[in-house]
Amino acid sequence: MTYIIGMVSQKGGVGKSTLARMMAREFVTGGLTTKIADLDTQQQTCTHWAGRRAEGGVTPELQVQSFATVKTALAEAPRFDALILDGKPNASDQTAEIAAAADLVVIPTGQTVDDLHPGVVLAHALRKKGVSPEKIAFAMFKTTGSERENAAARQYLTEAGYLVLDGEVGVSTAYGSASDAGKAITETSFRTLNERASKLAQSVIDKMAELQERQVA
Amino acid sequence: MATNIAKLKSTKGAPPAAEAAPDVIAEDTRDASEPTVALQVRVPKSVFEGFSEQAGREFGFSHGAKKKFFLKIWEEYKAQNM
Repeated sequence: MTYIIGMVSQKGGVGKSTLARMMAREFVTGGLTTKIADLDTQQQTCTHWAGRRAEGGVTPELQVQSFATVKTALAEAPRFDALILDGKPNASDQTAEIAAAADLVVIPTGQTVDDLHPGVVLAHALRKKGVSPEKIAFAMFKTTGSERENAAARQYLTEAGYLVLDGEVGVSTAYGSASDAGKAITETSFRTLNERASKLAQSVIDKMAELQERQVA
Repeated sequence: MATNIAKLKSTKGAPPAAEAAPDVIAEDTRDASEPTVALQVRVPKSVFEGFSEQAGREFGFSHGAKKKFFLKIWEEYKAQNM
């Protein structure tokens, strides 16, 4: 069985690729063969990042490949324990295809209404396409240190009817520097930052396990 | 002085209701702004004539009909096979 996670968003730059790379790193470190399918053939954010990772000799080695269509990406799935579909920004038919194929759909979002609103609208649109709300989860990205703002953002998403994953990725130069060096956000030079990001990764894994248990039951 | 309870209220307002939210996937029109590239193929003359005639019937005998017809066929192919 292959675990398939889809990273989608209505806006660009919210954290899809960052999340995809972190999850790939955590899966591989945990012993799962993993591939990131980079479906944004124009930006190729993950593909370029993988190049920097390889040049920098960062381990573990992660497999990233560009795909023009979800269908061709899914053809790779049986060869891996986990396939991470990193979609284009902007809602499109591709977004719906990713959501339909994925066991878990993650929508990264910032904590301002500018980010929250389009994320919720996208989640609603996916539901209209028949995607179960149970497999849609929001991940908090680029959060600030304000607990009140964070709580309000989580409340907004919960009121909209969606799960918000535990943990969050705050704004930090170290995360950007790690990305520049081909590292995931659990591979920065700062243990605290790595642990915070790791909490989000664990929440993704817990949610996937929960969904799988429900399928089995 | 009135008590200020603003600090206890959410600063984000209410999220959009599912029923009222626009279907951003169905309404996506951004593909229209994609850069276009030429797709040139050589086919038997009879195929070209048949294709042109059908395109004209469906989209009018004017400039762009063959393109629209091709894109329609492509969308239908994707819906069935991809």
